[in-house]
Amino acid sequence: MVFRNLLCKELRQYRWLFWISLGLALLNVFLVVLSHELLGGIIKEVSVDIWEKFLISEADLATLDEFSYYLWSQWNAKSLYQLGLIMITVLAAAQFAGESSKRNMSFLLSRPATRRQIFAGKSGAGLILIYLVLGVSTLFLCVFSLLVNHQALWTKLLFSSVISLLWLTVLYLLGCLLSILTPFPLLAGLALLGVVAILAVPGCFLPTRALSIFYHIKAVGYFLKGDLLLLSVLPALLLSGLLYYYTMKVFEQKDF
Amino acid sequence: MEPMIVIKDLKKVFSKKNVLQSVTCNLKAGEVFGLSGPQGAGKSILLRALAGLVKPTSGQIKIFGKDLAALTVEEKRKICYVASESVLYEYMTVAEIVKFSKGFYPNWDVQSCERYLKRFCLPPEEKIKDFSIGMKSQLALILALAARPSLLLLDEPFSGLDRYKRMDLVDLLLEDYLARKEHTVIIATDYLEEMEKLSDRMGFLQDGYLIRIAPTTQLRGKEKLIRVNFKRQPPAYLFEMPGVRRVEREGRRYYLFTVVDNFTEIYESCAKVPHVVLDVYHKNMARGFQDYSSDSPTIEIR
Repeated sequence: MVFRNLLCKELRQYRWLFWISLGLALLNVFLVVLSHELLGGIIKEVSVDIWEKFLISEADLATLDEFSYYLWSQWNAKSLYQLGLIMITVLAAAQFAGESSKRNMSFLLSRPATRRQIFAGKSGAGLILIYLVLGVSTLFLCVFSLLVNHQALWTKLLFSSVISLLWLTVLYLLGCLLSILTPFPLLAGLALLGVVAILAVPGCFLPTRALSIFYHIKAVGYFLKGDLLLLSVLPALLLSGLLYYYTMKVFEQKDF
Repeated sequence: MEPMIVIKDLKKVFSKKNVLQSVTCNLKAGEVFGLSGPQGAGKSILLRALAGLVKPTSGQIKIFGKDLAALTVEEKRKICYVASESVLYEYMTVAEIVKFSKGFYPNWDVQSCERYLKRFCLPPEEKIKDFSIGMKSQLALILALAARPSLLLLDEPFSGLDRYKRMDLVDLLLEDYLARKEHTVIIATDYLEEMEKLSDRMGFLQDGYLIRIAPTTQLRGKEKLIRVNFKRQPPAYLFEMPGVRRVEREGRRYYLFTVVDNFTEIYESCAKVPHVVLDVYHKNMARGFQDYSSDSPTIEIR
């Protein structure tokens, strides 16, 4: 009962973020599919030549059909993680640091619930919002593509999106941790972006590219290089579990 | 009988500053305990520690015979904490925050909650952000009382309220909540008049130390002093009212030394005179308490 009560309150409190993000995500879906209809050839040339050529050989690229590759490069490797990162930054900062700065946290923590329940309710609601927006828009991307008579490697694309969501979960929990540690939401948001920038540094160098957080969020290994699904999923699950446990412990010990 | 609350050698350090130092105190079930002291003395931190919002650096807090950290959710339902400032979700309406709070308490007193909301004229459809500080304090107290807690922790419940609203809150607590003598209450406030009416015992905190605890009857002043600044000639009847022991004058400023029992009547008569400024001091309090109260007025009405 306590968990459901907390979950409902959080979902209601941040419903504005849900609707704005969903609106932006659906707009992106339209733009991605319609851009291909209007400028398909040019976009393919640009994306292959500039962005991903160093990641994949021409032979490997040939195994992917043009539309599947296009969807992945424009959705998983661009819109999905960008929108997810914005949502995560705003949500994590508002849920903990935001409520601390407004003193709402005192009210919440003086309710008869354990801090574990409160953390579970808040982070659970945050993840539901992120999964709903990104999940619904990804499904809509598939449906809309089918409606305009395009076929693609749907299973591979959907699994890539699952990998993206799992790695975004890692980032969300990292955001929650930073948001608990600082009482200022703006600082918490900037701290998360700073940490993400540091985690992205290996991506600037070819030998360390696979260590970049964005390499994993974009599911490059699974989608382009044909790595096993578990190789991408397991590290994300393990990191999420560890981060969840550590963040919950910090939340339990923190003075409010 | 084992005390309901046992606080032993409680210490809290914030950024190398000792905000609570060796606080030791026991409270019986059904007792109303007033906590007073200057600003920054550690009253709020002590209540926040009792509510589990801050972790003690050392020492022990036992409630219902169990360590505070070991309380179950069921036991936590018997404790309500009302913060000194507005901590309610401002985007919610009254009805929404009532529904949200109710979700945590299976024994929520729906009828009392509705009655209190009507009594304080808090419309259910109104958003909390549109309320005054006083209305937010009232709502926070209503949310606590409707949960029917065995232990009520009130941090500055009278701040931001005018004299009449303070009286109303005191009446509500006395008539509705404390009448059955079943509930334990800790009130941290500087409004000594209200605290005297409510509490059985009073404790005085200074620099994090609980320097004195005594029954309110011992600490209660025998005489109160009203300082009145009159702009015009004051009406003579004020000085002849029953309970006025003596009057001293400094220009337009008059000092009325009153007997405690007649204090309210005299005070209200003074307040009715146009353009007056009133300060109230407690006099002849027990040692320790007097040191504090003589430094600063306990009530100021402008």
